Amino acid sequence: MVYGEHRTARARLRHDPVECKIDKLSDELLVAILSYLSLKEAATTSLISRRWRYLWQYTSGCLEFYDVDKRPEAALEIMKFCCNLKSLSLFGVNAKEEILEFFLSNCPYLEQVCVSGSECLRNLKVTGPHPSLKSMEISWCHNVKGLEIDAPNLMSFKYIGPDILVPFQNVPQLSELTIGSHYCYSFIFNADKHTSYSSKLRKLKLKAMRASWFTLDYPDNFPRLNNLRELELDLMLEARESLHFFTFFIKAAPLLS
Amino acid sequence: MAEASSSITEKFFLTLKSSDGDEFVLEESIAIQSITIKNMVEDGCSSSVIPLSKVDTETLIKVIEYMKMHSSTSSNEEEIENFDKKFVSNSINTILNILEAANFLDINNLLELCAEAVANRIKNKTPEAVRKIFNITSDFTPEEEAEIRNETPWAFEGNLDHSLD
Repeated sequence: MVYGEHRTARARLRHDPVECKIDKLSDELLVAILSYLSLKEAATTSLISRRWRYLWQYTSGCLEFYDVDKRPEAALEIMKFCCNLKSLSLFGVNAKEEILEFFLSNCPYLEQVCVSGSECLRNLKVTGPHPSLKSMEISWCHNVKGLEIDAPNLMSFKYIGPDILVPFQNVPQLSELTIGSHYCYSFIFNADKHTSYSSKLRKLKLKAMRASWFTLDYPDNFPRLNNLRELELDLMLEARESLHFFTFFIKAAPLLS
Repeated sequence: MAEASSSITEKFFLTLKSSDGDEFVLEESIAIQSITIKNMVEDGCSSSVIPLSKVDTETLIKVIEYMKMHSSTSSNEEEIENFDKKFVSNSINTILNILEAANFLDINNLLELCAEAVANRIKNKTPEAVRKIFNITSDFTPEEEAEIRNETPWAFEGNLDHSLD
């Protein structure tokens, strides 16, 4: 008995090193903690103890796949666990449109979707509509032929890739756009095609542009970008080149500061 | 006129009592970052001492420190950021106590700060390392462990960290 008491006193002095404080937290708090992890990281905790086994399935985390698992089926395998998913990222995974459309129709809370470097993505339809979807990225998917997007609350969209028809059907909230490569060329030189959404943009980033474009005549009568407040250009310039080409933006966007 | 009225703004003080019986006097405007305390003030229950039976002295000192920093108009964003960084470097058991207190006191940004700090200790660790960090005893049979690894093999792929940092 004495030994036991002695041990308790010492333990208290050292802030109870043997006590398991985390298991005194409510399930609700443990889920709140796990929500800061990606779905994969959270799923690893299923092996901690019986109490933890299913906790991760209650999180509303993010799901990220990198090319370590090239198999897109892996994404489907774990679908049954993540109807609460808020964010899905597929980097270098050869995801076909079926996979994405499957996620979009099964995860009603998805707010963010990113697909980068998929060679298999061709014609993606994000029609539904998807009221939760706020942000979407399709980049470096070289075989994209067409996109259709109907997302009434989509605020931010990033597309770097081949020239395609304007993908937006119903995106009244779209205010941040990042575009690059051939689609960006179309935005600058065939600007009339883009007026259905370009006048609403507040923030525009242009990436992956070719230096040869800037030797072309810059577009006269570029449509007004009446809401544009921020313009970001991501490009490499040779010593003799200047940003003179982009002055048409300043004329078109009166609010650019 | 405006000057006169601002200079006579009265400061109200509250007394918070920890579960160890220690009392702390705190400006009301700082203390009401806790929604629990705010509700008590609004319901008129704060005229005497507010007993916080679920928060021990050590934890309450930390929580007050946090609330003072986050309410002060004199601290700028950078100061707050540095404070938060240092704050989460407290021992994991202290963070867990503060997390519980923040939940009871309903201080949302403190709750989020601590939950993220705990998550960062779990991130990319092997289940074995997590058990050691938090003193959790596994109650799985080897068969159950095998079953879980089989069910979600992708959860255990990649380089998981064995260290206890």
